[in-house]
Amino acid sequence: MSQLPSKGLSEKKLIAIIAVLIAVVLIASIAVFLSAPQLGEFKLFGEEYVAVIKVKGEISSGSAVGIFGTQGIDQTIELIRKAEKDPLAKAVIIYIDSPGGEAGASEALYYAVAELAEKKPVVAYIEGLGASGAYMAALPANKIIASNSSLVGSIGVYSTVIVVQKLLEKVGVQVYVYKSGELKDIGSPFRNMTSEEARVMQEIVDNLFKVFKARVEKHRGKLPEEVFTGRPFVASEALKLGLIDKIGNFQDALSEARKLAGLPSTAPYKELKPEAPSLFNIFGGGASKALILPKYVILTMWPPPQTVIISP
Amino acid sequence: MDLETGVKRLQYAFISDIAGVVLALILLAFSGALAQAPENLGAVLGVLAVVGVLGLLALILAIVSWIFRVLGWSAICRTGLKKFYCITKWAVLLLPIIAVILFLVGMVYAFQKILATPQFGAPTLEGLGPLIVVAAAAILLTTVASLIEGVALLDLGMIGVNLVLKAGSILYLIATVGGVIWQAVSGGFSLSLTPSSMSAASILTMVLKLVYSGLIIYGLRTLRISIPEAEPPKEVSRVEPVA
Repeated sequence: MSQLPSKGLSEKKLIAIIAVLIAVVLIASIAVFLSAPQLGEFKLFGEEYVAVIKVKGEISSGSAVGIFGTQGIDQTIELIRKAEKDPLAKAVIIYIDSPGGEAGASEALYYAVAELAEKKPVVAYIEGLGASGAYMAALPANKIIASNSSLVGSIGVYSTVIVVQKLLEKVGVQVYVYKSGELKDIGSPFRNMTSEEARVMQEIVDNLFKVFKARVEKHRGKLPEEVFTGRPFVASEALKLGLIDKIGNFQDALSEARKLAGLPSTAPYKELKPEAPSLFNIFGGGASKALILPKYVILTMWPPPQTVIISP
Repeated sequence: MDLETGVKRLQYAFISDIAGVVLALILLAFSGALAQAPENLGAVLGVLAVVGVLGLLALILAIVSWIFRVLGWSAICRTGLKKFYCITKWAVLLLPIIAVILFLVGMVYAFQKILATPQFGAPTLEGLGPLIVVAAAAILLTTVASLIEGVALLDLGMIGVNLVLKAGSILYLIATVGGVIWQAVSGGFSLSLTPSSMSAASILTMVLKLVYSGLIIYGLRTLRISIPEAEPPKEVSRVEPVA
């Protein structure tokens, strides 16, 4: 042993170095790991909170970006699923300010909220507009709260067919359509509708309305027929008619959500936001879906609310 | 002779590591070729086959390296120079085994979870929190083994007054600590990291491994050459003549 050039470090020093290195590795790794943004999806430790998901503007299918006031339903549903999976999100507030939108998109949102409500307490909070398809999405919530100045309801379905036949004739454009069946090009903008087509369109709208009405009655019980005329109601009337449970502000909705989830009154809330759209999404396929018009079957408030408001 | 044998085996372990790094670099290049998705199905299958074979070779090399490490530290432990080298032997032997077992158990759990949950679309990370904890524990265990080995190599460098071995082992320790922190970063922030930054980090890690492995091999070689005159002679029990 004495012939070795040096004795090296003592056993104690070696153990101490190892301990320090392990501590450094542990502390640094934990600090980095916990501060990572991706962990929001499967966080193991942290504070329990109320998730807030906003449904704003016209509800459209796909993942359209919001530059035209439309909301791609894919992103909203993705946020709902995220809240559903996050064990720390103990309750969810669906914050609605929307006139409704496409029937399919509204229905997809309704099912997503219904699935969420089976697992966690959900409060729908309407501020501004909670009409038609947007109201349908609010139905499965445990509580529906609307702010005083909100418009709620507009339960119904409509379909618009624009005919440009005469305009095309004026500019010398002729359109030839070859079809396999008489009703294959129903709703075509290039010719006037036949009485048979008008009957079929009305039938489609009536059937969709029946589904909508059944959903309203399933979640809100038997309501007066006035509710199903398609008119919107101010919050106080909506409360009287049983369309909502309470009139209040966002803080009231938050308190209700905390109460339903058994959270303390100091529990925080966190808004879940969709990822910011990239330029590719805006100029590529993402936004284009919002521009496909006309939609044949729409669950939205008509006319748009800004034209309803009459200045004194 | 045990010290010389141990050092020699450690040299072989690090040589296997270098071969593994070279294979990993080739694998990375092939993975890049695969990412470009050649249209010809035959070409895709060919690249996949090469990737599979190289992956298997890399695994074999990793096991060979681990066996040499265990044998090397066992031999050094037998010299009785320091208890710490025996701790190193046990750490190098047991911690990676525990890590692999943990990881396998975690994988089985994850598969069961995925199979038991009806999937509509791509599998999600739902309920896989415990798997993440197990994977993190496995990474930490192998890191602890590497840290102990790094410090033991540093001590060997100090005993042999071997500057190259000391430099190599310090670089080894830095790479180990940096590596585990990088794992945490890439695990947590993978959404915000671009594939090119991930590849750059992988290449940097491999280059670092090549450098410290080279230094350690050279350092161990010079240490081994100096051992015959430095190694303490083993005590021979003398039998007293009985009158």
